[in-house]
Amino acid sequence: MKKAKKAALTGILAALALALGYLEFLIPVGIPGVPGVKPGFANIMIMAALYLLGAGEAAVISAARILLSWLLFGSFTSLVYSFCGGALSLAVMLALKKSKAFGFVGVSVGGAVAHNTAQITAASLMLGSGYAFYYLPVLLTAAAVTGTVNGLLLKAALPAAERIVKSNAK
Amino acid sequence: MKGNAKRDLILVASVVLVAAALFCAFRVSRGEGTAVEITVDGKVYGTYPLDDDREIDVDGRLVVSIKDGRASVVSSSCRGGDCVRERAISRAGETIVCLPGAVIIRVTGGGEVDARV
Repeated sequence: MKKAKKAALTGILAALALALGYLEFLIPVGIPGVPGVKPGFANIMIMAALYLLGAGEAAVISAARILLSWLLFGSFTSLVYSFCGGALSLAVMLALKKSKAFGFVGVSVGGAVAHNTAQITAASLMLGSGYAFYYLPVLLTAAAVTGTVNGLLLKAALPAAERIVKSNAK
Repeated sequence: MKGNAKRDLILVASVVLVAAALFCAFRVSRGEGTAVEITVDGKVYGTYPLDDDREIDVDGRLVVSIKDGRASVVSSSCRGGDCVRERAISRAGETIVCLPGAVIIRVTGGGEVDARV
């Protein structure tokens, strides 16, 4: 892939990731009694970058999305939580993908579990209390569900995205 | 890819199993609570008995209501308002956490576990 094309694709995926994150912010798809759980659709774009481009581009997209959504509608604490979640999630997804032992769903669920675990750990450290961990079972179950959904969505969308990327390759 | 799909399924199943095991472990270790401890920025703000109905303004950040032996957040100045949507808590060890406000509301007493998870 040409350098300019790579840059353009990185930009498109970053914009889509930001838009999907914003959509969740506008229309909270929460479950009553289970606050704070989000589907994490933006991760579909991070994973698409992981498969179409590479780890570096995926990291750039993840960081850009976190910074921009923080500037647009976040607080400082949310920035810290987001970075912890984003970094560990990407590391785990990269490891699972490299192992070649898992499909899209496995990579996606692994990323979601890592994201939620990192955020609750960061929250416990910042609040100086381990009690936030009582919420871990809820977050793990949510990660299994949202991770599976996102993995299946990526599996459905990636072949089409690959075709578009390749058809314009000169 | 067949083997991968199988491993994906095993991964998802293990995550759900771990969650269920943790949930049961946390549940069993909890007795009925006696009081509510409110922590702000990591420091104890106050402790209030659960059998005493009242509303507590926590540092202007949120309002906690204690009613019929259960504590809940009735309003919050934070943006998300996740803490307001949390269910009321009454069992020892149960918590409501407001991340933006750095407030933790925790039920104490009963068969509370000393160990911090």
